[in-house]
Amino acid sequence: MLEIKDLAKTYGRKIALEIPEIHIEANEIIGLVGNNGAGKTTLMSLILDLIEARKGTVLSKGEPVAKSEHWKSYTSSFMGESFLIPFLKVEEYLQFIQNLHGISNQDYKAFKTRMASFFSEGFNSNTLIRDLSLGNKNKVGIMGALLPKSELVLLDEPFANLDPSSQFQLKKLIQEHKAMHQSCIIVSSHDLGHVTELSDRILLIESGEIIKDSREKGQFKSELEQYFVEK
Amino acid sequence: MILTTLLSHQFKEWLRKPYWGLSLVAKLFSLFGLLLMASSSFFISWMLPNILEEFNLSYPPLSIFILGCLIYLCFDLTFRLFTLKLPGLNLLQYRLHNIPSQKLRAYVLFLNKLNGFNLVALLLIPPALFKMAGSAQAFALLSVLFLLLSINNYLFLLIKKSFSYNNAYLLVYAVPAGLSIAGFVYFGWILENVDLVSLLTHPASFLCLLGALISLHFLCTRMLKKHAYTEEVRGKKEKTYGALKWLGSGPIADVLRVDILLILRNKRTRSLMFMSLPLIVLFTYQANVLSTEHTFFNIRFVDVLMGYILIGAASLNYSQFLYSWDSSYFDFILCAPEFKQRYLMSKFWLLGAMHVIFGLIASLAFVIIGKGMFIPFCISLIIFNVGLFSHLHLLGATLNNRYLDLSKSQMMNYQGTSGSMYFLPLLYFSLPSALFGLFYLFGIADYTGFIFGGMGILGILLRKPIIKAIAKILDVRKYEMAQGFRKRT
Repeated sequence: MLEIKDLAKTYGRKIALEIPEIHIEANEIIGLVGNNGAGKTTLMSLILDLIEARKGTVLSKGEPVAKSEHWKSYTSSFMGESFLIPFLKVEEYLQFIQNLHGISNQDYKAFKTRMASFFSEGFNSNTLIRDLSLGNKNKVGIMGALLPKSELVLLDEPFANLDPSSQFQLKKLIQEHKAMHQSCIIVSSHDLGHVTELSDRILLIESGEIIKDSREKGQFKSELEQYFVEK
Repeated sequence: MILTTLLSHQFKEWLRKPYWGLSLVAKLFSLFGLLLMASSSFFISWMLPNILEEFNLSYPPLSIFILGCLIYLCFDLTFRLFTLKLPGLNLLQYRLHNIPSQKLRAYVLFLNKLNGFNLVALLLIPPALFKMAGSAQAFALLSVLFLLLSINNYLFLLIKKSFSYNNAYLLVYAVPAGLSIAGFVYFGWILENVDLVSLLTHPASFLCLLGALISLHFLCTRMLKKHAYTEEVRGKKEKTYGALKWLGSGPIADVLRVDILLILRNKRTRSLMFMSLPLIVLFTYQANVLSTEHTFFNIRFVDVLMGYILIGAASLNYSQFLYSWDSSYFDFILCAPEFKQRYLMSKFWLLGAMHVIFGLIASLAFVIIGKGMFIPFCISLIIFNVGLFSHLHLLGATLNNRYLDLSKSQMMNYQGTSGSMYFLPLLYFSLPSALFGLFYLFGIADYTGFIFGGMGILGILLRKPIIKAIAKILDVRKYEMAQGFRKRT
């Protein structure tokens, strides 16, 4: 699904990210873990071609993301407030995404039914997105990313600001999305409990480098806890 | 004590703001302007009886003053709506100081009254009063002045507050603006036919004025109590999305709908659009004066320039920020499928619609002032703007990469302005003149309208390949633009 080759990003003299090579397969959930400033968001931004790499390439289904537009048709993402249109209402925002990705009305209705308990505010709420609470804004962004039948989904800290019930629901929704569309879902999070439980593979990033790439699901949490305690 | 606490708190808040130094310079300039206005009003008031005498005008000074005040206050209201922020307070931070809400409301009202416009209005009168000291006229004049000030302050609070969350309230704004124009039109008629002196010096009139003053103060206090100083709370239902269904469906219509909602639902875009309308009137007036008084080389140079300016300036206000309007969700735009092409195309049609709307308004103004012969030329300029300048705006706006805060009014607001905004308008305005100069050199100046129109039609027909080329440029600039938009200062 994704190939990263000799990728580097610097801000001034500071190296923000340096990854010699990594392959990410379809139909798996990747957990990105690391302290603040480790390079998680930078990696996701490079995958989405939001920032320019100093060197190297990100290939999505074999095409370089910086030179092609095709990958956008099967990719969706939520990377914070810059992915929300603040002056739209929730329903308007989701309809806009529906139209952008050419989703049928039937599928959209089914999606809303699936999301009804996750977004208890109600889709017909008259509140504009900018007037929602932080948690609800996050929920709207996550719904926007999960609405298209994307093969690649990127979620940057989706558990932040969510209430406990919503966090558990979100884990279920991400797993459902993966099962329905055989998607590759990349989730960054500081919540070790949720991210280890959810992920098939964990990438531990520190100072711009991937220092651990693990697929041993049973060992994730204890290994990570040990690492961060010692750190 | 409470007043000191509130004032010092606001002062500290001001110091904490970024660019407070620049803000200080702007305030000093404003203060200079205010002093100039205040001294001018004092001078006019002092000299008015002499001026009337000089010109042998037999109208009583009282009538002149009242009408002058009325007109001044109508204009003042219009200007204040765009220039001043509603004196608002975040209630929570003052709760820490244990200040009762009633006192806070009184403070806001006090701030609202303590402004330069009220000062100028007051200085329009005292010197003349001094000359008429002790007379019934002086008494009537004072009552009327205070009433007008109260109405003005109340309307300002009402409109400013409503302006934040409901477009329909702008009708309220249109009333005083209309009154000010009507005031000019009927100025002479009122002076000739109404005996304002005996009307206003009647005891019943005084009681009415007093009652109105008290009611207005009560209404202001009630309004502040209801809204609790929060400027951007929306209570009204937004139905605009449904109302825009006529745009149909399809990739461009969807994006266009969001662009229109951007204009309607954000204070900065809304205020910018309404600022554009007086601009058109102003430029029409200029075009009217200049085209009759001067001709260069016995040709319609001024017609060309003014014609373009009056139509193009209004949409230029919007188009120079073209991508910055979307700065808060530009990352979303970059990640949307097949977006660049449809995004640019929707912007092209939006700019085109603006050129047409503003152009038609200007054309209407030309008809009203009896310059109907400019209409064909205006139409060719509209086509020229749509076909050529829309593309140039799409290209030029890629140079601006500053984040725009959409919640503040555009008037006197330089947040998000970059250097390109100063030289690009020069380019836009000089291009038609330069083209005209070329036509003149080649002896085809008489066909300017046809050539401009033809260029516009060509631009419209070739929009797809042109926009494809602009999309490539946007592709190169996108990283820098996105990086700039993420810096939310």
